[in-house]
Amino acid sequence: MILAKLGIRNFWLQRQRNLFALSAIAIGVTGLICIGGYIDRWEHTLRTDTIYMRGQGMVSIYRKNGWLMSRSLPKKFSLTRSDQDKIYAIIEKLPGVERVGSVLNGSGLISNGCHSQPFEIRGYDLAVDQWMRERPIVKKWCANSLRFIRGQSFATTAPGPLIGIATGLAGLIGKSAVKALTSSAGPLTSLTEYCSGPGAAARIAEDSNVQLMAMTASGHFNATDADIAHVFSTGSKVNEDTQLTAPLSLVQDLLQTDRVSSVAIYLEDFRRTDAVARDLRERLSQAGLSYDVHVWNERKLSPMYSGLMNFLHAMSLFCTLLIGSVVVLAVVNLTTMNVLQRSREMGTLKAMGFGSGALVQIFFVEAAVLGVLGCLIGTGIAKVLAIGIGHAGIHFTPPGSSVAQDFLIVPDVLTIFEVVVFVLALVALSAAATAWALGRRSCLDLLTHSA
Amino acid sequence: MLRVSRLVSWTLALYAVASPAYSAPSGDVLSLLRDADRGRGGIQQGLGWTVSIDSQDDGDSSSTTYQVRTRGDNAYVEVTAPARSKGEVFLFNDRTIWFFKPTLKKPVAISARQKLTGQAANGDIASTNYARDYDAKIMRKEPVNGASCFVLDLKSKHDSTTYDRIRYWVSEKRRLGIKAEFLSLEGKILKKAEFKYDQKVVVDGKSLDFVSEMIIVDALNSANRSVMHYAKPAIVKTPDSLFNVNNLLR
Amino acid sequence: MDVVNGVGGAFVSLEDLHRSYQLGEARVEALRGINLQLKKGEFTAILGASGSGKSTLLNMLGCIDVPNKGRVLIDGVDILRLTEGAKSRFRNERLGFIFQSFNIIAVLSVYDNIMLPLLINPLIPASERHQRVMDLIVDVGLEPQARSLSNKLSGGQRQRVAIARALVTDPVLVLADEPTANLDSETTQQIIDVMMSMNAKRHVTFFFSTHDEKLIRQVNRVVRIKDGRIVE
Repeated sequence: MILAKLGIRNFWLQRQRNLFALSAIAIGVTGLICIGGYIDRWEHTLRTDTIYMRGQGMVSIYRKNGWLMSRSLPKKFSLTRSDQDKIYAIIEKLPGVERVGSVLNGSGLISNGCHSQPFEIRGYDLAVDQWMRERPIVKKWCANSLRFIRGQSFATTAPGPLIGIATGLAGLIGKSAVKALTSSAGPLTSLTEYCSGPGAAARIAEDSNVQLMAMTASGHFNATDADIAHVFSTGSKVNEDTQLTAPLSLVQDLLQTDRVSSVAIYLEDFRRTDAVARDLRERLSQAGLSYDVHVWNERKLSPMYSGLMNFLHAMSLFCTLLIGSVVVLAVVNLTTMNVLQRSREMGTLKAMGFGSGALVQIFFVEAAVLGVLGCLIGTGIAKVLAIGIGHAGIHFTPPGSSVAQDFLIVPDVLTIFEVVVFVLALVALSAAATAWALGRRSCLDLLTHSA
Repeated sequence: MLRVSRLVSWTLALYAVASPAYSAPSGDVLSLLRDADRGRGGIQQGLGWTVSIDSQDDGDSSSTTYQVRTRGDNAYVEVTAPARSKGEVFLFNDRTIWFFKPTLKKPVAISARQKLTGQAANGDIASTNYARDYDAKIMRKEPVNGASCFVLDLKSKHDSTTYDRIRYWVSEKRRLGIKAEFLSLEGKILKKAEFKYDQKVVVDGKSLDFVSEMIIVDALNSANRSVMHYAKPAIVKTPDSLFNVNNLLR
Repeated sequence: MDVVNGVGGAFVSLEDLHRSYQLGEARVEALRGINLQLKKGEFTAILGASGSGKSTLLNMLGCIDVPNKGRVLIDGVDILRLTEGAKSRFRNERLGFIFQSFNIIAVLSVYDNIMLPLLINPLIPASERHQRVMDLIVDVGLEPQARSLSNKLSGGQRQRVAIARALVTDPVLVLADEPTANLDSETTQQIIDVMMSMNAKRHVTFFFSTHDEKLIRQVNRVVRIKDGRIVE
């Protein structure tokens, strides 16, 4: 207790000198929490987007190599009705499953009657889509993605074959209309007039009707009419010019199949993903079924999530090293000065029989007080900054993104805890190491060469 | 003297009857290509035929039958079998191709190089007009199945062609395309084709060779192939309206 | 620790002690064959000019310096054969130090300063610590200042704290290096009186250095040192 008292009182005595180190620690903690909070924000957003908005679920089941090949070779690499029945029977027995949905991916051409553009389409269960949109986690983290640029969800649009179209693709085929807002036009009599006559661009833009054409699973052409229910942004420039979404039934009709590309499983707790995936693989294996089970954050399935998170973590590691170095230098500098200034005190303690360990303990306590204070102040500043930035409504468009994103810092409790523990450990170790190195001098040296 | 000149005249007359009516001087590449195109439906007068395409694709078989009517650079191709695809139409207006079926409000613009079925592309199904669409050079002569052929290197003039490059073996004597290799821009062989001409079509009183079979094979996997069986080529009177895209909507 | 007899059964025995060290390019002979014996309970002063070797001699006795040659025995223990850890324990359990500059820890109270050596002393039970400290506070006349921070004390009061701290572990030998050098004459006398009373009461051997001639009249024994040698 006395040694702790000694440490604390010395800290107070040298408060002016401690201020620089305290500032360095506080600013360092602020910086690390803000960086962590920025990463947390993107981790939540991308995870939610990958799992829910992209319909992958936490765990998804494909035919062998289906994730890669089902779009181009659906007959061979998609799940038949029989496959689906078997898979659903297995999933029913899995614990912690909240929802299950089927997804069918395809590609083809979309036409406005005048020219065509290639598309990639994702068909999914409407019920799953509606359920997903109501989830608080999706509303919190993917508010931008949930919003339609124009139009409404499939469920709330007038019945009929409906699609959702990405803004880039809508622009390429000159469409701005959505079904709910357009009056149904009479049948077309002259395509030439429609496409090339006066006012053609406006006519095309105001017409929500499009034609979708694709190669069916049996290798034939098929085409169908559809109406645009909503225009959305994919969030990614790469996908903005090709993406369509549609109810599963429409895509199955277009491809003339009852197959699906994958079955997506949504869990009550995403942290159980790996455990559930393992369980599922085992159950499938025991049942003699050979399907690929993928988890949502596999690099090949979620390149954007993996790529961006790896990048952010690399950046944060760099920043952490930088900030950590500054903190260490500040603490080492401070401790060195303290130790040198109190050489006589340390010599006296040694003369009394105290070992180097006790001396280190004294400076350790001082550093701990410094560290705790610095962490408290830094955490407070970070919290205030996070709230302020959140209210400031700052938007920016990240590279590769097709829409502006909110600049937010949302540190998890775990992130704050990790930063505090890291900084405290850094401070304590720096001080202890410095004190130990300098305190190893002999008793005589400490007594006679005090500052 | 009169006997010799008569003999020469009769010989010449026989030769003229026996020879193909549109043979051009052998060094004229464009003329060679036009003659080869004619054998594959490239005739200005209205022509019609049926073509059945039997395909093997990764172990799956399929068969589709089309009724083709052409005139000049236009073609109207209607699916007649299988039943689920009956009534689907491919309309060729020069370089523009439309796909339509009665349930659609509007047709879909498609490209010649898009896959039709099996190894056949959209552009393979109507008449051929390599002379219009490709720059041609004779590379060499080569025998194919005992017949001397010009080997032509065809490079696409524009984006709307079915293939970027074609290596085309045209029979020197019959002036018909015997064999082809369809290449990517970099010269990689994508598909190979062989042609047979076991039927005739009478045009303006002249009997012309007409393609009876085209076999297209995937260069990477020869098990994937499509065989196009051409039948009943004949001159047909086709109204202009048939090739008018606006009439698809009525 | 091995118990060894000192010369003539002395309590403290320094035998042929030599100590030299490098000072720049010169070699300084601080001690040149010191032989000295102290009896238990003696109140002895070592007198000499600055640089005579007084402090060096005290450092030898305090186990905080090591001679180049010779032997140091304290209460039968050859301290030069102790490991560093054993020396630390020896200093804590058997020795007490009083410094010229007091060396009191300013941010601790009188009570805490005196308590310090007891924190690591295994021979004195924790239950006895408080009473022991309080007794010494009374003995050195600092009862009213027991909880005061040391930086609020006068020079004389601080030295009293140092004396109490030096005695709290019941050492066999208290070493004081010019304990009154920084004090006025009145305070000096007070400190000497305290030291003498502790010596009488607790029978602790005191050995302190000074260059003040007036002090030597009050001690049992005076040892004079000059140029690293005992002269009388």
